Amino acid sequence: MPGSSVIGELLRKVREGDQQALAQLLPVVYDELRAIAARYLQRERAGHTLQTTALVHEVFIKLVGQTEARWQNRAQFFAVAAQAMRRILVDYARGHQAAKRGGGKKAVSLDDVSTVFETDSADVIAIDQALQKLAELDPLQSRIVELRFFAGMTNEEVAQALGHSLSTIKREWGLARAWLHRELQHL
Amino acid sequence: MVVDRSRWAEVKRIFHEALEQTPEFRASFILAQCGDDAYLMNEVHSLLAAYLQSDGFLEKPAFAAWSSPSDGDVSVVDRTRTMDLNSESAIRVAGALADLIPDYELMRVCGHGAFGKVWIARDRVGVYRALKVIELGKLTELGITHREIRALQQYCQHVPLHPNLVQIFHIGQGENMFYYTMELADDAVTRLPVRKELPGSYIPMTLRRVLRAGRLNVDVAVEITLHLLKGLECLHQAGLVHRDIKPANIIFANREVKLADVSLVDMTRTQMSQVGTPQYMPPDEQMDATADTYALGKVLHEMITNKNMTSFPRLPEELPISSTQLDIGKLDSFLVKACGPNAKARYPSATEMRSALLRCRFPLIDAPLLELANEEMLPSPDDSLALAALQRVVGDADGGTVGSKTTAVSIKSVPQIRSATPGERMVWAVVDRIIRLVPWLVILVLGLYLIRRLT
Repeated sequence: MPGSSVIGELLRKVREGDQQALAQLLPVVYDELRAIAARYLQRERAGHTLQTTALVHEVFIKLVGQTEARWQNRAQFFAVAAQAMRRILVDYARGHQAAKRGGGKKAVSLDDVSTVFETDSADVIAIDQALQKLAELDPLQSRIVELRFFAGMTNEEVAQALGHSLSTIKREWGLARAWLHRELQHL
Repeated sequence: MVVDRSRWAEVKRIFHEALEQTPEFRASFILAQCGDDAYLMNEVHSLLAAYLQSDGFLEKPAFAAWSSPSDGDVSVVDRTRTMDLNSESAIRVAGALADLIPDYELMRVCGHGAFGKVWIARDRVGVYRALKVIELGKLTELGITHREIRALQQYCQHVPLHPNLVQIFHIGQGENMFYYTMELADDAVTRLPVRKELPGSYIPMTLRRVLRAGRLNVDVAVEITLHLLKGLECLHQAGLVHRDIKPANIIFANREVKLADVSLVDMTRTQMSQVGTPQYMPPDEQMDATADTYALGKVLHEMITNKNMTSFPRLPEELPISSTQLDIGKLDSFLVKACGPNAKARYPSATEMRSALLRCRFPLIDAPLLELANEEMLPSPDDSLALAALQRVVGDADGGTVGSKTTAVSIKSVPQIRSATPGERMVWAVVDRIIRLVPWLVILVLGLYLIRRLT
């Protein structure tokens, strides 16, 4: 695993729009999220509730370190984590669907998770696909949904991560949700 | 509706500005902004309608689902709603509604239609019904006053009872709202009608839910369609159209498959814009009886292919589809006609469509004869939901529609072409001879008559 300073540097590059840095960062975050999610779920069985933001925060501390105080990096990290989270959930849902069809092939083996994660896999996939369509129409709205729905961020956190005003985020979130509702309602 | 990127900025602007208006001015504001641009107007209106319905939607993060195990069959979307509806405010709403709906005990919400929630309700003698509540405020807010009331009126006045159409029992009105009760769909989990007790995990058994588990066997899909066509035929003969046929609006109730959600039903001749569901609307947006036949054709395609749209409306070549009852080539042409882009070329009504679908079957087969114990024919072996659907529909068809003495043919066996017994054949031969002799007899009699007259 790259050191925390390397991660910090990658985050800075991602913020500047470096796609290669994103490609390097994503798998690291992805793996870490999965590992920590599995641990969380064991605690979950002991009766604790799981907060997505807490989970992402823990990954952030682990990868970047407590000392990394710059909020831009933290916000950027959440944005990357949201993408990783989306992939984890969609991959899992796909694997779940494939297993259901008798293929038995799981795209991702999330054994620790599968017993607890019982959300209808078809819906996660449907939301992901609708979100891809929305991204073509309105990239900002699709980012907002990703951050809120997949990373569990609040409007305030989303505003910080994307560098927009809170009122803009609220407005766009309202429309994005209506658009997705219309899109998914009739599936 | 096709997503048009170039128009999005415009749609967005009008949508946001319309929301800033007070509800009663919204419709006129949108009209002023859009002029005669029908696309723009439809987009803004339908997004506003979705906006008003999307309260609580996607509010709970996907990952949070991990922290609430137990009911695995509730989807992300449903889950957020269930959470939303079990909150204190929902209980208050239920309390307020109970005053307005005195004869029913409201159990919980089981679905969301356009402009209203559907509750599971228990009547005074303990019978479970689906109860839809329509708030008039929302209808007026959108400038679509009382469309739902009119639909209900048309449906109840003109359509006779039919096993393949959802039955409406009671319509009531309260302050600024009205409600009606209908048959409750069977439970998708237990696959049984809800009788004495409502299972805690009850989920309405819609075709949409059945199809989530995978595609259906083609014979079963056709059988379901034939049943639905009978219901639709009844609706069309009453001069009405459904306008919103889709898997989510097709329910299994009391061992029958039924067309549900009558909120868009209307007279064939009325012209209405922005109704229906884009995915099941014909491309020419002609919302008459051919829109219904189009939508049902698409539903059949979806049942067979599970949304494999690569070659729609044709059946995808890469999918193995075989049947002992059906001529798949004919079925393919049937789908092409049913889901054609041009209204004039589609089946004009359910009657025509049904006889065309019946012609896709091999002649003289006593259909439908599926032996469901044979697991090879099931859409996916692990899926009990689809199996239940099949059992219901086919079970019904076996007992109900095929009245004559039919012998059950197992799927494994080759279809039996009905051959006549030697006795039957002799009778037919004699009848045939007699019929052929008739013209000669007539000539003979006429000839004799003429000879008599002349001599």
